[in-house]
Amino acid sequence: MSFWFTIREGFKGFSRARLSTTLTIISIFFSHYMIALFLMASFNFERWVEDFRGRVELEVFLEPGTTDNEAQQLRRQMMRFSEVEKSRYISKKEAAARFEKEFGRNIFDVLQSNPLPTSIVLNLKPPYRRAAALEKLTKKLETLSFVDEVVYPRRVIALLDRYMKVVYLAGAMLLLLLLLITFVLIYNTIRLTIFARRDIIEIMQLVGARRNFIKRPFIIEGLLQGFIGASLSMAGAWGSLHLAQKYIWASLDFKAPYLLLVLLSGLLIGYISAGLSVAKHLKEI
Amino acid sequence: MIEFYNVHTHIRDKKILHNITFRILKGEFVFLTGPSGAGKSTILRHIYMDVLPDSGMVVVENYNSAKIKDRDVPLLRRKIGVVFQDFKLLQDRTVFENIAFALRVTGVSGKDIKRRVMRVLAEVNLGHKRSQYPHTLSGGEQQRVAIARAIVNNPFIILADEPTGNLDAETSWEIMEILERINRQGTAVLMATHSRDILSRYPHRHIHVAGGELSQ
Repeated sequence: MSFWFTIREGFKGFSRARLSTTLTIISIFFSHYMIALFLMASFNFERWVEDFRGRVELEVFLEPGTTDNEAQQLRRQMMRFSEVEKSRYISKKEAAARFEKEFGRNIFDVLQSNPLPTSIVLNLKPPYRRAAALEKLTKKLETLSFVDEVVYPRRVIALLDRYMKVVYLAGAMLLLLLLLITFVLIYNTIRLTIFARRDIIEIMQLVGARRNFIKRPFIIEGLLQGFIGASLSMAGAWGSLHLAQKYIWASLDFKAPYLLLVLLSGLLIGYISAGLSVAKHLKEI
Repeated sequence: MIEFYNVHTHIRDKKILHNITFRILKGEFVFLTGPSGAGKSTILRHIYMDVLPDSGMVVVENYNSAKIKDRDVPLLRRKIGVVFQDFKLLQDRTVFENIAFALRVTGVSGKDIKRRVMRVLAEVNLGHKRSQYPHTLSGGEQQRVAIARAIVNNPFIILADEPTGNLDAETSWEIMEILERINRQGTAVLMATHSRDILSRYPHRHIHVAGGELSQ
């Protein structure tokens, strides 16, 4: 009985402070729409960066005179490293073929002999595609016998790591700001609703309703505002993604369950801001 | 049943009550008299513990103002019925819902609510107006709804803060008759008033308060 009473009263709050409720829902919609777009953008950015990292190869050049047999043995040794996903041995002959492909001329035409070193090309597992892990692995590889030099696009990887940090930090700040704005809006709407309904609160207090009982409808109202605003933003963001896929970039992608984070954020912010607002303003009645 | 012991109270640095001591017995009908601003309403608010004394204490049944916990105040209020001069009805709910409200917020079941609301509506003679909204009723009828709401929880006392203050003479007598009837059924009544007519017609005990002090 009291459950339905609470739900009913929570909904009634909507009609009591209609304008501020509508404005709050619109604001929650916008802030959470931005959050959802941010999630989608970072999902695709992350995917793009991971794709790039996946293409990064570590080339281990071997000392001159290393035989094919020794090189193959070394390759098997490297395959046992936890970081290594794939490896490929490049013999002198293959190195010469690669030279011709890249420079358009046969090495024997240029130098009359083949001084190109043999090498082992390594592809790494996803967690080890960061600058620090690459550095560590390079050091480990350089201690192995027959290894002459380890080469990979060091500067690009370092830059990428640094920029990713900046992008995520800026994103987190933006999210925090959006959440803070949403918090203030719900907090104020609940304050207005409390004052709009002070007659009913006064009577509840008079006839012996418990404090939590009085608080609950306002919390329900905050949750509802969060739920409606966040749901609209989820739908809006999903629609925007489909439009962007159709007209801008077909390979954009997103996993729908991640949108539940937006809903969770809406509910949580609704609950917390309404709870704090009602705790503060109920005393002023 | 209700006892005030040397109660001193300030509200926002203003002295409201000074050394108030009195007692109301079970089932008694007592008038609280005195000029406006004398402290009558504050005395009533002490009884339902909306205001607590700065020193001294108020004992209501088993509840003591010096010891009562916040969470027990609602339990005390369920045993007290309060009626105001301005009725304090919810304008967007029907007569039935206004009274049912007092039961709903205390978790009474739907079936019990209907039975109890109909019973008190019959007591104040308003059963036929249960579906009407307060603004369609006369002042006297609205006050009867407020009284019905006050008695629906079977309180041991009704606190009436100038319940006839907004009503004409004839309607006032009707309200007094209802309060008398409730009192005869065993519920105590503490009524703040300055109506000389009422005081002279009903020979109950007076507690007179002036400038925050008692003169019985």
